[in-house]
Amino acid sequence: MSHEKNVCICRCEEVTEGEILRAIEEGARTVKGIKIRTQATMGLCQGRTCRRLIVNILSKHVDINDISKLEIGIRVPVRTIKIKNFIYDEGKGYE
Amino acid sequence: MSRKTDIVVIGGGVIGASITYYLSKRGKKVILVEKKDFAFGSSGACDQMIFLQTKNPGIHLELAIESKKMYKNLEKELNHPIEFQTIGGMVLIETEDQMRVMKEFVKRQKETGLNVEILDIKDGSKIQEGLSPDLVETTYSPDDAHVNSLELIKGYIKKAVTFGTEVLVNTEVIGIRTKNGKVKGVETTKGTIGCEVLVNAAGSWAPVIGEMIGLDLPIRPRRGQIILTEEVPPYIKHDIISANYITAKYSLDRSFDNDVLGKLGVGLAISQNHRGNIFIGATREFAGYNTETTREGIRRILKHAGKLIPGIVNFNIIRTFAGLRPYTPDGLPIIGYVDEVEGFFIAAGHEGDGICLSPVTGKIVSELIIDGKTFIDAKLLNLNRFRHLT
Amino acid sequence: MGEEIIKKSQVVVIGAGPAGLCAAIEARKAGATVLVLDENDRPGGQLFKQIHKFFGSGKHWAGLRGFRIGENLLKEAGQLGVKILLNAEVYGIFDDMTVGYIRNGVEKAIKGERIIIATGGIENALPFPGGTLPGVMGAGGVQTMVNIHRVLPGKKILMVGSGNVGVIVSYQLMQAGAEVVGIVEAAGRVRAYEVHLNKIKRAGVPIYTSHVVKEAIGKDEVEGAIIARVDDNLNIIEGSEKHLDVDCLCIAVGLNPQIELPYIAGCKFSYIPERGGYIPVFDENMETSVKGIYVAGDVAGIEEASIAMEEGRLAGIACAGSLGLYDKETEEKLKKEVKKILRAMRTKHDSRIIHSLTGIPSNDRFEKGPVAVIECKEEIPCNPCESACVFGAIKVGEPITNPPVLFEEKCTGCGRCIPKCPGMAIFLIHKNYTDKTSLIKFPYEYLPVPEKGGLVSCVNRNGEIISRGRIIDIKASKKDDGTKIIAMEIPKEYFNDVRGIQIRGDGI
Repeated sequence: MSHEKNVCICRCEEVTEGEILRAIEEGARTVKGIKIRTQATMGLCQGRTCRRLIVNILSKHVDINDISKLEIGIRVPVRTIKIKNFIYDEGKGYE
Repeated sequence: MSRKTDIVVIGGGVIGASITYYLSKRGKKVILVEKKDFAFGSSGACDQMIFLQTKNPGIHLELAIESKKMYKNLEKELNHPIEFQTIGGMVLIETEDQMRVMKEFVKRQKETGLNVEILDIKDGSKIQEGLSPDLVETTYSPDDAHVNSLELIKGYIKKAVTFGTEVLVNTEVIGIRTKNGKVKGVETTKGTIGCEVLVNAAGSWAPVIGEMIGLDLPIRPRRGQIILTEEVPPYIKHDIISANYITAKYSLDRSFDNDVLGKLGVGLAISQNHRGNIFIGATREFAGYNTETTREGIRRILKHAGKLIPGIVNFNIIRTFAGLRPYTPDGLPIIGYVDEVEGFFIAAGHEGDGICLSPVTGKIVSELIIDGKTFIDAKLLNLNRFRHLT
Repeated sequence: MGEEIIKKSQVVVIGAGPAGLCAAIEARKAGATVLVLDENDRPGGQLFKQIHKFFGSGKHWAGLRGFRIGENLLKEAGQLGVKILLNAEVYGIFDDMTVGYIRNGVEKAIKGERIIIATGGIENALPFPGGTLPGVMGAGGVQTMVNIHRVLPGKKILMVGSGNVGVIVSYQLMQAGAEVVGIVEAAGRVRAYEVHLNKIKRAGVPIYTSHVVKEAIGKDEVEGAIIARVDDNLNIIEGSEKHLDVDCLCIAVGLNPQIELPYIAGCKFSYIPERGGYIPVFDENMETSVKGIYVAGDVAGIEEASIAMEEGRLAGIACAGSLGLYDKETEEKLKKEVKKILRAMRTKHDSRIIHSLTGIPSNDRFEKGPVAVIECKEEIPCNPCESACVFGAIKVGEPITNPPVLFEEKCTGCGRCIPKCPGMAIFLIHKNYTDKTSLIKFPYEYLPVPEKGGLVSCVNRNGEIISRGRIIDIKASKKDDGTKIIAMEIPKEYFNDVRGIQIRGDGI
C-alpha cells in the first residue's frame, strides 16, 4: 500500500512502483516480464525482498492464484555460493 | 478479433525483433507475435557475446563479421542504449593438443580477415588478471564484442513501433491458414491475422510452428547452463572462452555428444556485463525443453572456470539459469522460404550465435523478402540443404 | 574427473527450527537415519530469539520461553542421535532427491530417500516513501539484533504492524530499554492476541489503528516519521498527518512462507493469503506434490510455533511410515494423536470471538479474600494456567482454544498461576488487604525491578497513571525463569483498575 508512484519496490535495482506499472501497461503479465522491462529482481537479493511486492501489484491486473503462470523466477542457488566452494582436493573425498 | 498485415513475424527474441525492425524500416507493415513475452526464450537466457573467434572460418565467420559491422551503428540507429562494446576476446589454451588445433584454426581465421594473434600466457596475463599460470597460451582478438540482448530487443521493438509495427505479446500462434499452397494468415489466441508472408523466428520452438504446415524442421533445443555472479567491479577485461569450447562446438562429425569430454559438452565462456555481473557458462546438452540447472552442470562449469581463472573463485554466485540453443545439424541457421508453402519463411536455428547474428539475420531476411536476393548465396542457408536428412 | 560418491540419508531435514527438530526427532525415534541441515550457527530457528513465554499445550512446553523450548528439543534430538549440521547452507534441491549445501567453504551433497523442508517464514517488505532509509528494519531482524546480539536498533521506535510479531517485538524493545513511540495498524483494530496487546497498553504505548506510515523522513537515516489516518479503502485522509519523533521504524507487516526450496524442487502451490501467501500443496501426511518431499512449519503456512512443532512431528512420523519403519497400524495411531492436537489448536468458532468474562471473579468473591483474576477471553491454543492450579480452580478443557474459566470458590488466592501465564494476563487481587487498601500481585519482566518498600506510579489497563502504590514484596523464583511477581499495595478504590506500574518511572 504505497501512496506515491515513485516509491521504491526493488531496492537492489531501485525500481519504482511507477516503472512497474508502466511495464504492466506495456504488456508485462508476469514477474519475468516486469524483470525484463525494468530489471527488478535482477539485483543482489534476486527478488527476495520485492518479489512478493511485485506479485501484489500484478494481482490487480492478473489472476495470481496459479503461481506457475507468473514466472516468479526463483532459481538455484537459493543461497550464494562461490567457485571456491567447488574446488577441493578430490583425493580428500567428500563429507 | 481480426487483423490484416503484410508480414507476421513469430517470436519475440533477438531474431524476431531484428527481422521486425529491418522489415518495418523498409516500409513493410509487420505484426510481431510473441507467445509469452520478449526474451522469454533463449534470448533471455544466454551470455551476451558477439564472439567472432568461435565462428567457423567460412560462411559462418563471414556472417559474423558483417553482423558485427552492423552492430557498430545500431545504438545510434535505434536511439536506445544497447551496451554494445568491442571488448576483445581471448581463447584460453590448456594443452599442447589444443595448441596444435588452435594454431591451425587461427591461421584459417586470419585468412578470412579476422584480427587475431596467439600470445604466450605471460603476455596474456598482462591484459587479463587472474589467469591460471598453468595455461599454455591464449589467443587475443580486439574484434570480439558483446551486447545486452534484452536492451537490444527493446531497442529493435521501440524503433519498429515508430515505423508502424504492431506488437502482440501473450499471444500464441495456434494455427496457420493456407489456401492453394499459399500462406493466408495465422490463427492466434487473440484472433486471426491475415498476411501474405509469415516469418518463423521462434528459435527452439520453430519446429512447433513448422509442424503446423507439416514441416519437420531439424532444429532441436540444446541446453546451455549458465552461472551468474553478483555485480563486481570490472574484472573480466575481455570476453574469454576455453579452447575446448571450440572443440565442443565443432567436433568434426558433431557426434562428440557421446564422447567422455562432451557428454555435457562443457566449454567455458566467461564475460562481464555493464552492471558487473560475470556470466560463466556453459554446458551443451540435449535435455528436451527442460531449463533446469543441474548439480552436475554447475559443478563442471565452476570447476573448469576456477581452474582457468583462479582470480574469480571468491565472487558470489547469485543465480544459475539455462537457455535452449536452437541446434541444427551443421551449426548454421536455417534462413529462407520453404518449398512446401508459399509465403512461409524460416529464420531460426542460430544455436548459440543468435546474439552475434541478430543484425545480419534481419538484413538477410528483409532483403530476401523484399528484394528476392541478399549479399550471400541464399542457398547456403536454406532448409533445402537438409532435405537429404528427411 | 573422478566419480563422486554422494552420501545418503533416509531422511534429510532442511531447517533446525521447531518444525525441523520435531520432524527429525520423530523420524529418528522410528529408527531412520536422519540428517538435519541448518544455515545458522545455532539450531532452534526462530526459537532461539524468542525470549517470551510460549502459548500452547502444557504437555508441550507451553509457558516456557522460546529459547528454552529450543534447548529442550536439541537435547532430545541429541539423545536420540539425530545428526545436525550447522552452518550448512542448502543452496539447491536437485532431481533424484539430492540436496546441495555449502559448509566450511566446501560444496557437498546428500541424497535423501525423504526430504523434509522446514525453512520457516520470511518477512514482508513494506514500500513507502523513505522506506529505504537506514533505520527502517524488519521486526524479525530487530528481534535478532536485540535478543541475540543485545544491540538496540534505535532509541525511539515506531512499530508498523500490530500482529503478534509487532506487539511482541515492541514488548521486547521496551524490555531492552527502548521507547516504543507508537504502533500503527492500517486495519481498524489490532491484530495481535489481546493478551499480548494488553501488555503494550499497560506500558502506555499509543496504538494508532486505521493509520499508516506516510513517509519516513531523514537525510542519511531515519529522523522521524509521518503517520496518517486512512479510510475504509486504506486511502490517506488529507490533513490527518502526524509527525512522530523516531529514529527507527520496525516493519512487522506479516510473514511469508520461505518457499524457495519447494519451488525449485517442483512442488505445486496454492495461494492462501490468510496463511501468508503461496503455500506448497500438501496432504494429510505433510507430503507435497513431489513424492518424497514433505513440508512442515511456517513454510507450510504461517501459524504458531506450537503448530509448527506438531506439523514437524506429523511429517517425521509419516516419513518413517513410508520408509517401512512403522507398520501401518502404528503409523496411523501416532498420526491420529498429532492430528487431534493440530485440530484442537486450530479450532476457532470465530477467530476473534471475545467470550464473556469467564476468568473474572464475582463481586462477592472479591470480598471474601485474595482471588485470581484471569483477563484472557480470546480463543488462543493455550492452557498452562489449568495445570498451574493445584486446587482445580482454573479450567480450559478441550479444545485448548477455550478461554480459561475460574472456579472462584476453589481459588485459594495462592498466586501460583500468575507466572505460569505466557500472556501475563493473570493477577491476584486481595481487595480487603486493609480497610483502605488492596493488594495486587502481578507479573513483571522489566528492568530495573522497583525497590521493595518503595513508592511507584500505578497504571491502569491503558497505561494511564491513576494512583500511587507501595511495593510490598518481589518474588523471583528460579522456576519462573526471570518473571518477577510483584506484590503492591494500592488504594482500595482502584482494585479493579490498577494492573501494573509505570516502567522506569519515578512518580506522578
